[in-house]
Amino acid sequence: MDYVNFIISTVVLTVVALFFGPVFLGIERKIQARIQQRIGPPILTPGTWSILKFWNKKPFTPNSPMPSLYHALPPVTIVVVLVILWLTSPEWWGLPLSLATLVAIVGIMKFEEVMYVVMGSLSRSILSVTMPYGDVVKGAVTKATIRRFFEGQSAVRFIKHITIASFPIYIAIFIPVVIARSIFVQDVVLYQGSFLDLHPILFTVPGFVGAIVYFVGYVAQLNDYPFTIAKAKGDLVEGAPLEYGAHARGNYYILRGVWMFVLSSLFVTLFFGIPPVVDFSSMVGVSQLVMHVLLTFMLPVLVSVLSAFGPILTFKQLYPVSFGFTAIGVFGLLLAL
Amino acid sequence: MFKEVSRKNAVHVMLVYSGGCNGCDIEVVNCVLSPYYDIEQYKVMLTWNPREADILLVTGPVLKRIEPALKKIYESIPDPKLVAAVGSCAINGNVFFNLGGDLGPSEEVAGPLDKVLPVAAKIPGCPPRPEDIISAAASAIPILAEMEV
Amino acid sequence: MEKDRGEADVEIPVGLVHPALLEPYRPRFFLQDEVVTDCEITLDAQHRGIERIMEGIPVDKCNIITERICGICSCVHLWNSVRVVEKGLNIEVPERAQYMRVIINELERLTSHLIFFGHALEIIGHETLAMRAFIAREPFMIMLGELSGNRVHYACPIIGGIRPRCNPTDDLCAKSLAQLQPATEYLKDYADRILQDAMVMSRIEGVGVLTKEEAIKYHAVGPTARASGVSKDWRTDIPDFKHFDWDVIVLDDGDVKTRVVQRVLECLEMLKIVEQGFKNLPKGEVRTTGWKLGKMPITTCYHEAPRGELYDSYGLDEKGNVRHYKCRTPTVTNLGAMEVACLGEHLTDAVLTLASCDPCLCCTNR
Repeated sequence: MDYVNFIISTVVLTVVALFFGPVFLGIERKIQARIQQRIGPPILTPGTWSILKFWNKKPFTPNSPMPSLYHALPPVTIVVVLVILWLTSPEWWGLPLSLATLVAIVGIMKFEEVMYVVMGSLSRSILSVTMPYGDVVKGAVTKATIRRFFEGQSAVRFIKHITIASFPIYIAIFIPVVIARSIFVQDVVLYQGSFLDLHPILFTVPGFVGAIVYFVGYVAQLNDYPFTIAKAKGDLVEGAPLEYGAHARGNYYILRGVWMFVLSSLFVTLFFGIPPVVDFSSMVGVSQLVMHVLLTFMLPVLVSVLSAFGPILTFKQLYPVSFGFTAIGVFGLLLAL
Repeated sequence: MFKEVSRKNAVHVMLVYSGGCNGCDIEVVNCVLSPYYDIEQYKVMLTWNPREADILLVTGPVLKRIEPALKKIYESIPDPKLVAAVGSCAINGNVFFNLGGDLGPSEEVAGPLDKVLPVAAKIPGCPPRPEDIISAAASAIPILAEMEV
Repeated sequence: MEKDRGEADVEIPVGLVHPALLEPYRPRFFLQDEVVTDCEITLDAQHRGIERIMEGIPVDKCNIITERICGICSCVHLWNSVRVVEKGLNIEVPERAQYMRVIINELERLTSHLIFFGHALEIIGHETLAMRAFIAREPFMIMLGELSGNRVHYACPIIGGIRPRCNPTDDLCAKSLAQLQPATEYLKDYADRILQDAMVMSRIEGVGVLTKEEAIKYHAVGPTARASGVSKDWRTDIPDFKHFDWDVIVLDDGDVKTRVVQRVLECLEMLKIVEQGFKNLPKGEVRTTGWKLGKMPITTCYHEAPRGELYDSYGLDEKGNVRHYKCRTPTVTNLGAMEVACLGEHLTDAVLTLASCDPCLCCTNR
C-alpha cells in the first residue's frame, strides 16, 4: 500500500468534510428562509462565519461538573464521525483492520448518538434551575426530590430518541447490504459497477424504498425538525449543547455540519455507488470526487424543505412515525432478498 | 484568524425582557420573525442562549426582581459582548421611573439599564420602530468587530 | 371533576428567559417520567407597582400610564380607564369617536390574536407558519400606525372622545378599507393552511383540555373560556359595539385546537366590525368639551381585552386626581385555569398548553 496516497486521501477528505459541513448549515438556513418568504442570511453566515466568530471569542469555564471533558466532547466526536467517512474511501478498504464494514459504521454511529447523552448530563446552564429567582420559598410546592436542568431532561430524551428513532437509518443501511450480499463497503460499491458504468442501487425498487427510509433516518439522526424532541426549542431551548460557548460552540457547530456531511456522503456511497475517492492522477478520479460532493448536497436540501414544514413531534407522534418507516424499511429488505 | 470579518458576518443577539410593557419586546420579535423586516438578512440571528450570544438586547426598566437574573445572564455571555437598551424604559425608565403621584415613582425599578449594565447602544422610542432596531443592530456590529479579546 | 395532582419525582423549572415564555414568569413543572403531574406558576417577576404610582396623579397623566400597562392590548386599557371617568361624570362621547375607538380596538385585537398564532406555532416548532402569522399581521400594524401615529401605543381614547390626531380623513378611511381586503384574504388562506396541516393538528388536537366546569371554577375568561363553552363577552354590554353587527364565538371542546380555532373565527368577526366601521363612519365632532373634572365616587368598568375580562375602578378627588386605582387583567385567572389544564400532558405539550391561553404577563403583574 502506498502510504503517501493513504495520508493524502485522508487529509483531503477531512478538509472537504470540514469545509462543506458548515456550508450545509448555511444552505439549510437559506432554503428555509426562502420557504418562509424572506431573504435570509448569506449562505456562509450561519455556519462558517459563525464558527470563526465563536473561535475568536474569549474562552471560559462552563458550568459543568467536568468542564474539560465537556469541552473535549465535540472534537472527539468529530474525529469519530470522520472515521465513517474515511472507512468508506477506497484507500481504507484494504487496511488489515477490516473495519470497512457497515456493521462497524453502525457501531460508530451509535457512539455519536450516545455522545449527546454524555453532553446533556455534564451541562449545567443557568437557564433553568440556577436562574437567580426566588421560586422555592415558603408555601411553594415542594414535591420532587430532584430539580433537573434542561440538559438533564435532554439527556433522558436522547436515550429514548436513540431507542426509537434510529431504527429507520439502520434498516436502510442494511438494504444495500442485502442487495450486494456482503457487509463490506467495498462489495456494496463494486456491486454497482465502476464510475463510468454505474447501476446505482437507488434506481432499483428496494433501493428506492431504502433511500426514502434512509432520508427519514437521516433527519432523525441530525435531530432536525420534526425529530427534534430531544432538544425541543419549545421547552428545552437547545438541550444538551446549551452550555457550549466561545470556541466550544464553534466546535459544536462543526460537529453538526460534519455529521450532516458524513451521513450524506455515506448515502452517496451506498445508494449511488460513488465512494469518496481521492485520486488526482486522472480526470475520472477528480470528477468522481466532485460528483460525490455534489450529490451530498441532495439530502441536506431535502432536509431543509422537510424541516421548514415540520413541527416538533412529541413521543406520541414519534412512535408511529418511526415504527411506520421501520416497517417500510423491513418491506424494502424483504424486496431485496 | 479572520477576527474582524467573521464578527461582522455573524452576530447573535439575545433578547431579555426586564419588565415594562411588552411593546418593545413584540417589536424586536417582529424584526426577527417577520419576513417583512427579516433581521437575518443583515447577518443578525436571534438566540435564547446566553452562551451563544454577542449582543444583549434589553427591554424594560430593569425591575429589582429581575436584576440578579439579568446580571447573571450578562456574565454568562462570553467576551466580547455588547448591551443595547431598547426603548424608553431601558434608557430612562419611562413612566415607571419618572412619574409618580402621592407615593412617588415606582420602587420596584432598579434601572434604568445604565445603572445595572454598561450600555453600548440606545434605541429610543416607545416602542422603537423595527427599522430603528435593525439600524441600531447594524451600527453596533462594527463596534463589536473592533473590540479587543 | 378535580384533576389529580399526583406525586412527582422530577421538577423542571422553566424561565425567566425562555423562548416559549417570552415574558418573564416562572412555571415549575413536576414530572413523573415526562408527564406533568403538578404545575406551579410564579408570577411576580414584572411587578412595577402601577397602581401605587397612580395614587393621587391627575387623571390625564394616569391615562398615559394605564396605556403602558400592556404593549399588546394598550388601547383597551386606555379605553376602559377613560370609560370609568365618562361613566362616573356622565360625559357624552360623540358617535364618530365611538366608531374610531371600536375600529382601533378591534384592529389591535386582531394583531394580538395574530401574535398568539405566531407564538403558539413557534412553540410547536413550526417556524414557517409562525412567520406567516407575522406576514398576516404586518398590514394591520401599518394600518394602525397610519390611523393613530404609533404602531403600539395608539393613545387614541381621551376623556370625552378621541385624540384629534386619530381622526382619519376620508382618504385615509378609503385607503384603509382598500388595504383591508387583501389582508383579510391572506388571513383566511393562512387560517385554512393551519387548520389543514395534519402534522400541526396532531400536535394540538386533544391537548390541554379545559372542561366547562373547570373553566367556570377557575374563572377562565375571554377566548379561553369561550373555547370551553362559557358564553361571556363583555363587548355585548358596551354601547359602542351596538352600532355593529357581529357574533360571539363559542366553541365547546376546550383543547388547544379549539382555542386556536376560536381565535381564528373571532378574527373574522373583528374584520367584519372594522369593515363596517370604515364604511359607516359618521361625520361630526370627535370629542365633547365643556365637562369639568371634579369629585367622583369610585366607579367600576368592565371591558373585553383580547385575552378576556378587564376590570378598572377608581375615584377622583376634588382636583381631579386619581384615588384608589384598581385594575384586574384576564391572564391571572386564565393561567390559573391552564395550570390545571396542563396536568397529565407531556412536558412539551404542557408548555404549549400554558401558552395557549395567550398569557400576557405585563398586564398581569402591572
